[in-house]
Amino acid sequence: MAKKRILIIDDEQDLIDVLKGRLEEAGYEADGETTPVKGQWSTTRNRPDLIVLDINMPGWLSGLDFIVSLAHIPTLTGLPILIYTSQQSPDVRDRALAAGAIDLFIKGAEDRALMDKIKLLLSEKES
Amino acid sequence: MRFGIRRKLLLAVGVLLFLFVFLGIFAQLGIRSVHDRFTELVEIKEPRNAASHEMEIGIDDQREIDSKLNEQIRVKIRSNLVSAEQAAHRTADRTERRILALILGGVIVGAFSVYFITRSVVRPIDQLVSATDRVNRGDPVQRVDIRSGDEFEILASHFNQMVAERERLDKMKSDFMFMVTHELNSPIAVAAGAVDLLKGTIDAPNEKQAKYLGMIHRSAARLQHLTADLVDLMKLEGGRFSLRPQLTDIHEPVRSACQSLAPTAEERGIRLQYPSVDAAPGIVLNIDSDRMEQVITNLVRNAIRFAASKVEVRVVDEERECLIWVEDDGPGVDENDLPKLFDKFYRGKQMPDQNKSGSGLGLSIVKGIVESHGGTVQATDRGGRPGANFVVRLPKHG
Repeated sequence: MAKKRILIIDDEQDLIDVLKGRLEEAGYEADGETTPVKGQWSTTRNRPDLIVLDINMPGWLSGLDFIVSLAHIPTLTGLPILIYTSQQSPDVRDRALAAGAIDLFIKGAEDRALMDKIKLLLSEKES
Repeated sequence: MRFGIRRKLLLAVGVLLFLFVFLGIFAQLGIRSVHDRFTELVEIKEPRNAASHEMEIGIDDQREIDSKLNEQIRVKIRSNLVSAEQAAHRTADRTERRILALILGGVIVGAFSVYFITRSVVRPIDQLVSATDRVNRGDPVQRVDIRSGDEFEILASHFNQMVAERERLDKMKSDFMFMVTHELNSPIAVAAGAVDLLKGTIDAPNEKQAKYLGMIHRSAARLQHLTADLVDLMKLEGGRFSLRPQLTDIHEPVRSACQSLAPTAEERGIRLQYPSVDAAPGIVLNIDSDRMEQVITNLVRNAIRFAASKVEVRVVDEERECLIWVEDDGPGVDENDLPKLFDKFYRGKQMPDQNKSGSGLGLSIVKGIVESHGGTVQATDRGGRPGANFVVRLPKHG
């Protein structure tokens, strides 16, 4: 059984590296892109099993727009998206969920919860 | 200041005083008038003496004249008396009426004065007292609106300025906290993650490597806990703490919390007792299960940390409330610490062998969550036995 692949989209390379290291230790494959546009391209080229997405990244395509854009691509339906951000306001969480994300985790405060959720979602997919 | 408060009060008092003086004078005038009438009576005697001295007449005639004169005088005196009496009565009546009128007038003016003083002094004071009370209780404060053109208006305007300033500072404080934690999140995530990965790359660390790695790891973990707590606390403070209450059996979050801490208890050699599945009937409350689990986890984790041998968690069903007891047999809480225990950042006596983990925010978050549910949380000693008791009371809605 092929390893599950996770795509990380975050403007901080350090964060991508750390998360990648963690996920690979947990037995997954992981790739990262630093902008949503590159992320889009990577997704369409090679469909991941899950996306971890930051939402306040500079550039013309915001993180939330990215989620919406994915919804238009039929091959990518059902792709779970988790938001991983430093933003703490509750309305951000609501908007993210409304846009189609599955859940939102705060960097530094909810790291373990993020890993737990990833494991949960990807093990569900097997069954 | 058109009419300062002092002037208004002086005016009111002055009017009253004037009224009394006026009343007094009037009454005095009336009495004087009566007095004068009676004085007239006395003066009648004088002409009689004058008349008899000036006439040179014989003794008999003298006697006749005398008696006739006396008679006339008596008649005159009588009629004078009568008219004087009548005049006196009339004057007395008039005076009485005047006094009554003035008393009535005085009462009316007095009532006006009281009303005036009440409105211009007591009411503004009341408004300010209730507004300052609201500020102290932390309730939302509306501006105080006093437009009396005197010192109270100035006072109200100052008060409003102070409230506005306080609100501005509050907002600045929470904006600052928000921004700080926002900036901290990402670097903490990177550092904590990187040190874990680093540990993984070193199969057999030497003593120094192990030591320093351990230090970084523990610090990173502390930072993560602190950030998580700050996030929670800000949610509480900003009132943006959205609970998602659902009808749940309180035993569920209690058991879930205890089960997740069972390994920790075992590690420390502490016996953790909690309600088992079949032990008690379910108590269904309207609660946010995850948050209540957070509360119990926090209390039980503390208890395990301080206990000597045993931690007991009990759920008690009472008529109006449901109680959750978390008891340990450790050193207990110092009397002086008790009232401050749930304050933000308060850290009481720490066990000497503990790592100084914990931000001191845990109990204030516990308090915040419990109070958001309409409940209370308290810490008490165990009445002679060693250890501490924490009791969470949650209301049952009938």
